[in-house]
Amino acid sequence: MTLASVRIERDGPVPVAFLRGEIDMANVSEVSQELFSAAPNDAVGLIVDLSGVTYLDSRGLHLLFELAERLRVRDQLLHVVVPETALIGNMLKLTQFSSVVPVFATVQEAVDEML
Amino acid sequence: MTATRDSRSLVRVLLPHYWRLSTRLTAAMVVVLGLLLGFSFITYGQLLRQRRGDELANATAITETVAAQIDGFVRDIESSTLAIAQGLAIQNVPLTQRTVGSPLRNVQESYGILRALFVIDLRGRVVASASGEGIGLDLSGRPYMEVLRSGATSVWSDGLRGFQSGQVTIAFGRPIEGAAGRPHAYLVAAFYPPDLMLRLRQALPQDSRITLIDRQGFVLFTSVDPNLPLSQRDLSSRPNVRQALAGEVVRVLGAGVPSTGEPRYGALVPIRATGWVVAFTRPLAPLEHDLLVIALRQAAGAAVAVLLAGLIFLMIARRLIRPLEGLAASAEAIARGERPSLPEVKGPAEVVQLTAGMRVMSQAVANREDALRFLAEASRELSSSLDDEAILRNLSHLAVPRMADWCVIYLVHEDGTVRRLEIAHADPAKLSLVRRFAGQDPADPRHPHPVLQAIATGKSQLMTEIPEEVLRGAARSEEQYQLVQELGFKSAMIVPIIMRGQTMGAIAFASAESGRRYEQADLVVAEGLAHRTALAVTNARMYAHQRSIAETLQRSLLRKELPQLPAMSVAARYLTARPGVEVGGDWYDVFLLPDTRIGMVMGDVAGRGLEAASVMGEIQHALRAYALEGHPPSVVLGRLNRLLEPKEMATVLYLILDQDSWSVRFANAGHLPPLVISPEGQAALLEGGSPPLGSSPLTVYGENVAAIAPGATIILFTDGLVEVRGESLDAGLARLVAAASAHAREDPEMLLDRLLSQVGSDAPADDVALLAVRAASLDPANLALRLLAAPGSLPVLRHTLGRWLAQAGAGERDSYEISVACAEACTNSIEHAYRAADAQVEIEANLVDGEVDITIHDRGKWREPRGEHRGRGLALMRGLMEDVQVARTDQGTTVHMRRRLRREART
Repeated sequence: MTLASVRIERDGPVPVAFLRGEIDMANVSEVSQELFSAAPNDAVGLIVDLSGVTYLDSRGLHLLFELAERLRVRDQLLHVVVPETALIGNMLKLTQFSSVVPVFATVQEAVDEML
Repeated sequence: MTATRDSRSLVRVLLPHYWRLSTRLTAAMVVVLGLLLGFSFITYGQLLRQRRGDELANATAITETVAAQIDGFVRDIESSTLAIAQGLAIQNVPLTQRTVGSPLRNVQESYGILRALFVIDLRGRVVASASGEGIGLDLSGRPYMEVLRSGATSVWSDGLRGFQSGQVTIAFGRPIEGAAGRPHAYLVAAFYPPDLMLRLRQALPQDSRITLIDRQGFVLFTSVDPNLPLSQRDLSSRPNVRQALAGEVVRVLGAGVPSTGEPRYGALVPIRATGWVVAFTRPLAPLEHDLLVIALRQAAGAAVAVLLAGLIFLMIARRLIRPLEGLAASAEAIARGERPSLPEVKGPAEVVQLTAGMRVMSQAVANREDALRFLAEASRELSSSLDDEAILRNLSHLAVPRMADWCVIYLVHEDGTVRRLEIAHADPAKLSLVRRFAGQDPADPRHPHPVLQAIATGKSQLMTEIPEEVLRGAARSEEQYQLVQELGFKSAMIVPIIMRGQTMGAIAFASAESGRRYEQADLVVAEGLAHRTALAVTNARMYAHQRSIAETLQRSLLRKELPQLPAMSVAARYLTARPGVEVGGDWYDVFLLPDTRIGMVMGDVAGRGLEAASVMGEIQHALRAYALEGHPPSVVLGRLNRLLEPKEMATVLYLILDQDSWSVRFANAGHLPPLVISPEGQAALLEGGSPPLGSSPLTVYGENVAAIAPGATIILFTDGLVEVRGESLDAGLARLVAAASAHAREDPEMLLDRLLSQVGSDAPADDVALLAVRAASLDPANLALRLLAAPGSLPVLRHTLGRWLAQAGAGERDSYEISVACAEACTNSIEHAYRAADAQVEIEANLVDGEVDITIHDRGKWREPRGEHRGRGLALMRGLMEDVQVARTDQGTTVHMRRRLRREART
């Protein structure tokens, strides 16, 4: 679906995936395909920026959990960027997302922390 | 025929048509006449030559006779004078007038012809004469005297001039012997040639001319002119005269002797005794005239005969040609398609025969024409319907009474049985008699029914006389047999109806009361009718098949399920054009974009039928795909334009209705403008458009935006609605705007019905498509949604709920979190409703005193959470909402959630 889009930036030391739009059960599998393929084997990890996401529900969270798990198997890290004022913040707290995946306010912080 | 004769010009009346034959006859006559004349002229020439030969011989004979007579006469004179001379010598008296005058006189008188008889002494003086005149006259100078004195025994003089008369005279002299045999005087007799000739001529034809010529070529006498001047008497220079004088008999053809200027014929014969020549001629003219008259008479006779023959020919030609001409005119009229009545002819047997033949031919031609006309009419009649059974029923009524008293149509059904479909007869009473046996299978195993035979073999059956056993075989009971006999069937034909090699039925034609006997020619017409019927039925079935394909395709492309949104109503109409017109390429589409804006499409592909329908399908699907990818209308139309195949063309209007901003955004590729009706009833057409799709690949499509009021109705339509024959498009549009304005307050379904009845024509020439969407503001107190239990419904839920919450005054966070909670509940419903394709989720939200109360109900059964993260949905719902209750029953699952809106966020 076109509700969401994924843009991967590989210029920096760590690939960054910028997610935009709405992620729900209708497009979650599409998005996860793109994210899984975003981190090459030799990368330290992957940074997923959720700043542009206007909707994320449990399916989206499930996607991120799964992504973290698969990266962990490859000894790679997943850092998620969520601005402090983001609407999904409450949801992340509720699911204790940050206990599994480190969450940063900006991409730079996430990159710095990973290196 | 009379009409054609009247139409002839005067010239043709004066110069009758049979002139051509007469001319030929005349030419033949002239040739025959020429030959005859030539022949008679040849004959005439031959006759002329023969006649001339004969006449010449005749003339020669006559001449010879005359010559002999003259010869006899001169010999008579010679002998008579000899006797006198001897007498005078014997007497031995002095020869004086006294002594011999009297005897001389006696001799001359007895002779009659002699003009003079006298004695001349040796010195040449006349000593005595019969007349007593001229005594002492000296004649010694005369040539004959010199001859006599030289010792000749006799001498004939040439022409002499008489002493007294001055006329031409002939003299004969001989010596009178004295003693010792010496002459002592000469006796001379003289006469006028005319006297001699007068004696001869009595026996000669009137037109003959006799001429006596002396030894010098001098004319002694001629009957041409007895008084011919001496100067003209010398003929010695003429070759035939000289030839004759040389002793030959010479024939004359040409000039007379002497010449008189006219052509004559005859002969010149020498007279032995004197050396003279006698010429006898007759005119050629009478002789040739006779022959010419004969020849002319013969020629005239021949000419008359030929003319008579010619007249007879003309009479025959007239008798022959008049009726032939009439027949020819009739034949031409028949060729033109008229039906002339052939005249009764009382002419030659050949013409009567020909007329009879033509009458038969004319009748045959008329019959064939009638048959063709009938078949053409039948074709028209049969193809006027597109319903195969109606065609067959039609057929039976066409056949009666034109071809039969009875016509029965049989159909082969799918199970192979043969059943009667229709029976036709002019008289309803008789029909009802027969209908009692309707539905009975005509089969009787003992007697193969001719209808079944025709169907089984595919071959026509002709029964000039229906055999008894066929009638008996066709009847299934004694009662039926009696009826059959009462009806008095005479003759029948059965022809199979063959469609693409398959016998689909048969037509039976039967004659009864008309007593008609079917012949081979009737069978040909019947087969033609069956063939046309088969064609019409084939066409009807093919048409129906094709139309149904096109219609199915078109219907399948038109939205059956219109999207449903709260406070939005959608209505659509599709009217096909009047029957007989192929389906058009109109379509409409309405769909929710991922962000729940509403896409509305109206299009019309150029052309009709299956092809247009399939192009329409392509465009529709492509448009939907581009639209769902989120492209704006101008981009969607631009891409569609590049997608079209050459020669494909379509008008498309794509409009997006945005309920968040209350605006419409559209691009119009050559289509009629969208109509917007405000809730207050103001209707307006939205301007702005570009060329149709397919007109140029370079077209850049513009986009227009217009604000609309909540509750406004947007109507898209095709030209079939506003186009009325004989009226301008503007008039139709004006009528649409007026009607839309008048019925603005009706709900969309009713509104469309009104528009159809008031704007469109009763029998639209083109298909009519209409689409109406009305979007109103949501009720802030209450929201009810019924969504398909499918992932696609989630955005609709979120956006609608978001819009409602925003209207209800919820802050962003409230709105977001309530949406997530609801979506979680719905996601569960969707996951558990996988068995039923049309399962639905019902959502009801109420706002009471700043508290949102949401109930989500489905008919599925939620499973216990499975897996590490699966339970997260319910946890989220519980975390985001203040009160969450899940009730699972056999009827389904109901989730009830509440949350108080945060006051500080509401601004």
